[in-house]
Parts: sequence; structure tokens; C-alpha cells
Amino acid sequence: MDKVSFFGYTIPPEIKAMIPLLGKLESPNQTKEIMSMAATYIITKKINTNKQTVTQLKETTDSIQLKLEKKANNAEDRNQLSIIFTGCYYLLKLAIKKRVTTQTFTNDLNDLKLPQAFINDISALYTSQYKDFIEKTNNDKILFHQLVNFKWRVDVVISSSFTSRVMIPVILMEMTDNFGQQKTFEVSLDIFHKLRYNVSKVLKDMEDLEQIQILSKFDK
Amino acid sequence: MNKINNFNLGKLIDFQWKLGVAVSNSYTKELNTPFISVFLKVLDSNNQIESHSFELTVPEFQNFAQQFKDMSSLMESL
Repeated sequence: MDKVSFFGYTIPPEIKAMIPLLGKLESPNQTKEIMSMAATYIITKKINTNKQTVTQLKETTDSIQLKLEKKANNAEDRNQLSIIFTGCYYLLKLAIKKRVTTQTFTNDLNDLKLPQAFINDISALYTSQYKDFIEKTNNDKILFHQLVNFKWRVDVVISSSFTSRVMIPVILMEMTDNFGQQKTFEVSLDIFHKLRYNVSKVLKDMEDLEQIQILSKFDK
Repeated sequence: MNKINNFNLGKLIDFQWKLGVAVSNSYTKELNTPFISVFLKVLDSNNQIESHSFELTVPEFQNFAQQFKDMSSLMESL
């Protein structure tokens, strides 16, 4: 075999299960809607969850479930629609993972002998949403808590319960992470200089990274 | 003295203050606002020491100080 399709050597069972059902469905609009629901699901689903994204995902899954149920006339029908939804989801997911071009995407689907209307629809969807998909996967990494807000203030201490007329500058910093946790702390001049040194070092190291050839190749 | 400590409503362990001037911050270059910071350590009813800190602006501090003056003069009148 000269070329492996984007879904691998063997067709995933989720996609395989969908193939015989696609021919049976009368209205192409129905599958079109299901695949756009799968696309919405992919975009909403996040690894790094905070409360907001969890509720967002829950709302999306609930609405998908409701729509699928509305479309189905009976339990068997409902089951078939679920299988199609899962199949579309896997097709898109694998294509995004490999970042295949629309051309490869369409060609590989043609090899599967799927109905032409389905291939046209899902290819069109893949092309139109490609940017969103890539942006979403780029943002979706397993991460620590992230810094979202940083505030500072410079104070000069004039006197305190221990000393008077000290005039020492102190820096106050406040950091908020994406989970809403807040930390306020005081930084002495000494530590601040260490921080400054390390910030410049990181900046320089990041600049050096751009010089490395192999990384710039991956950037494409 | 021990009579009043029958109820454990919390006990002041430490009280520290600091007068400073905020020179600048992330929003403004010339802030130059004086403030008072207060740090408290309180032994709570579970025998745990809790640290608290708060900051007062000048008018807030004046109000705060006035209340202590009132308390003090009341004590003296007893």
C-alpha cells in the first residue's frame, strides 16, 4: 500500500458502524445537521476545564441530545442517529489530529465509498471550520493553572510599629489565575531584582529558540 | 480578668501597623496616596491563630482612629 489514509490502517469501528447507515437515510439535511453538531461538540470540548467551559460543554451536549431525540421517530432511529453522530465526530477528530488538507480528506473519504452527498457536505464543513478546529487544538493542552491578571503597586514605607522614617520601597503584586484564585504578596527590592533578571533570561531564551532551525520547520 | 475570658471570643495576639505611600501602580504613574496597613493575629475559638491584614485610606483611618478615641474617653469616664 503506497498511502495510508488519515484514519489509519484499519477503519475505526465508530466510522465503520456509520457507513451502512448513511445510505439508508433519506434526507441529506439530517446528516448535514448531525455533522455540524459534531463540529460544535469538538469546538466546545476542552481538556483543561474550568467551571465556565464545563457548563458550556454540558449545555452543548444537552442540546445535541435533545435535537437527536427530536429527529428520531423511534428508538431504533434514535440509535442510528447516535451512531452517525459518533462517526462524524471520529472522522473530524482524526482529520484534525493529522491536520490533513481538504484534498486528502475528500480523497480518503471517497476510498471509503461513502455517499457522494455526505462527502461533499462534510468536506465543506471541514474546510469552513478548519481554522476554528486548529485554533481550538492549539489552545487545548494539558496545562497548569494559568495567569490571567497581574497587578502591581509600589509603596514607600514611612513608618511602622517597629521603625519610623524608614523610607523603604516595597512592591506589592497580585496575581489571579484562570480558576479565580488570587494571591497578593510583597516583593522586596532584592527579590525584585532577581525576578527581573529571570524575566530577561526567559525572554532571551525564547528569542534563542526562534533561531533553532528545527522548531521553525514545525511552525508551519 | 479571668471572668471575662470565660467565653472564648478570640484573643488579640499581635497588632502591627505600617504607614506608607503608594507611589505608582499598574494603572497610574503618579499615585502618591498615603495609606495605613494593619496586620492582626487573633487566637480564635478553636485555638487557632488567624492572621488578617487590611488597608485603610486616610479618611478611613481618621474614622477608625476617632472610634478608638471615643472608646478611650468612655473608658476614662467609667
